[in-house]
Amino acid sequence: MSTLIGKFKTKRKPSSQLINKSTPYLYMMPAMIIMLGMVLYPFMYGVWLSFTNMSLTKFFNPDFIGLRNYIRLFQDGVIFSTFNRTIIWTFVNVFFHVSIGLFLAILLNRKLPGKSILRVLLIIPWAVPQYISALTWKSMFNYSYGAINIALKTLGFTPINWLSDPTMTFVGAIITNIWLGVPFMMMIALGGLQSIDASLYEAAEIDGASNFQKFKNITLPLLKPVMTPAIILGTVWTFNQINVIILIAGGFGNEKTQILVTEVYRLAFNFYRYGYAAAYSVVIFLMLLVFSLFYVRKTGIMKEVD
Amino acid sequence: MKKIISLSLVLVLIFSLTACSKKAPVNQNIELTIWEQMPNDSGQNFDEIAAKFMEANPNITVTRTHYETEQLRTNFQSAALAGEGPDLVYGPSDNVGIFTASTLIQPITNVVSEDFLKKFAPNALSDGKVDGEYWELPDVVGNQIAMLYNKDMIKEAPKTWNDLVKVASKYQDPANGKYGFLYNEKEPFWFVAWFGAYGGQVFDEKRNPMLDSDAMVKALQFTSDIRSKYKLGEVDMNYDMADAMFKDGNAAIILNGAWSWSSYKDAGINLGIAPLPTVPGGTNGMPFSSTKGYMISKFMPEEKKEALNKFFEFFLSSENDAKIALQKAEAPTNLKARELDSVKNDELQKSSLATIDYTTPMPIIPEMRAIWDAIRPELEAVISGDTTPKDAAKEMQKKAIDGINTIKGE
Repeated sequence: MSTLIGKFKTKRKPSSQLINKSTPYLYMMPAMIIMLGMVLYPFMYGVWLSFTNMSLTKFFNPDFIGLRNYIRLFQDGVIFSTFNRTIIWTFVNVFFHVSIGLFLAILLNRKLPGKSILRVLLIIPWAVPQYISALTWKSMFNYSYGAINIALKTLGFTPINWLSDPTMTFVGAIITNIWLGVPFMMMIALGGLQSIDASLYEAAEIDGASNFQKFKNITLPLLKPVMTPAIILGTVWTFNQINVIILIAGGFGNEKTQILVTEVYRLAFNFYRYGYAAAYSVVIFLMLLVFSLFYVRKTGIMKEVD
Repeated sequence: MKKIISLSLVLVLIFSLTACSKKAPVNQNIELTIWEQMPNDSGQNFDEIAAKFMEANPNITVTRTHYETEQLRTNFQSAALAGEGPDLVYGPSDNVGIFTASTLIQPITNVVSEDFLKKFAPNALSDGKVDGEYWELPDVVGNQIAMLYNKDMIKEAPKTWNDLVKVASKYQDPANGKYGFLYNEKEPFWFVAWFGAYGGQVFDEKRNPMLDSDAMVKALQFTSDIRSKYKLGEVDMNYDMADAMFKDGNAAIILNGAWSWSSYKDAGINLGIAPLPTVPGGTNGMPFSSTKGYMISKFMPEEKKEALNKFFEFFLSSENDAKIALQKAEAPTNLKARELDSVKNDELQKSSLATIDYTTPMPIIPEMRAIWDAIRPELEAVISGDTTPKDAAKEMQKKAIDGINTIKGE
């Protein structure tokens, strides 16, 4: 970017330097204004809300109460068990999204009969509206008539009470979300795989590398620039995934199936605790920010951009 | 620099233009906007009435926007926070408590006269009464759950639970997908009927929850007994499945609300409707009943008052109220509408009036949310055998108090 502006500078007179420097910003201004209005303003509003006691009875005239929401949040204690559950939820989901997605991508990247049909089939979970898939899964989890329990019974296992036992409901939600999230990771990985030069594998083959060595030393490192942002995105999405849990658990009733964001939603829209819910969201935002910064630094993915 | 200035000028112009467009002159043509939560067929009914209304009042336009129950509430709240939103909200009366607490609506007497209110059933009106003011103009009352039975299988409606067990057990054959008695046992709205049958009340006069009671323990025990002791019902039964089973003639008796009755007639079921049976050691099942009606936004412009008055006069006339009420087998609130032959001779309306006596008005205070949320997980835990009715009742009470404190912001 600096070299580009530098070229402009040499061509123009010094008096118009200000304009030259501001030209790129002028071009960006429409987008910036929209970003400010759509992202920054609501964000700042949310932060401001977290310092107030806006609630049902303080709807139009909330008071500024400083950090009291944050203090109450950590005194409450529920946040810790919910936090643990959220970590399990996010980790298990993203782990399987990436591993299954990568596995399928590698399969699809090979010569396979009927590959195009397979690819379409594998992308279907992504193309079907999320809540239709989630509700379909929910019916499959039904105790007496669900496909899963019927399959279990046929195979000689005892059927599982998916929707009445909160732990199993949570497991069910995880299974559903894994199914929903795999296609995205698979697409990204497939794109990355196709951009890897085949000659690298040929060279490795000549050197006598095994399949696993090829995967570890060529595929994985070359996929990293593609997969890292996808994993960050996937983590943030999963962390903030509200639909699947609510649809599978049938609402917010049971606290043993809730994750942090569903808790925020419950506080804001069931209990009308807008200020408190905003404080919750700010804490969630900070968690995700720290995670992303840490992950970016650890993998060094942004280095080229800097 | 000039560029920046001219650009910002253009932007200011665009913003002010869009701002202006919202304040179109309203003297000539008045638009009444209404956000509603009506089932599809009731919505069509509403449109027919609206078309006639607009024909009679060419300077008034009625625009309706449909939302689902939860969306209606949250969207109206966020719109009202910005001082915008519709002039009218139509929906169940439990929104009244929430909207009055957050001061989003105004008393209906700001628009209609006390005289006009005399046309309506007093108990229906009082459903929307908070702090001595009427906040909702109800058009139907009902929403109660009743016992629905297939007359081809059950000749006469059982009056007691033991009678029900006798007649229903014959048809109970889950292995072949046949059931004598079904309902979605995990849904608190159904469960409160048993709670009421044992004399339970969710709140005392001071709005304190009363879930940890003898009535709750008995009701939970009874719910759990339905499958374990009486061998009726089915694991994991939900609304849609019970509904489908009954429509296909695979269930002899189900419990469902007034909104659903006409759909079973349409499905060709030889439908019988009766109050819930008396439970062992208690009275008849006592489900909640509630009204549906119109609420007026706090931000409705003064100049629309007259038009709104006309709107109410027209939509809640005996004829039109009857039309809306007949659609969903809920009783009209307009007393004269109840005298109309079309209502009097309607089978479903008869059932509606026959079962409405065995109901308790559903509390509309915002604290009710905490009650629902407290009941559900414990009810599920009792049904799945993870806890005892006694412990569950204690835990419910604790959760309800926590929830109410959360709502109050304490």
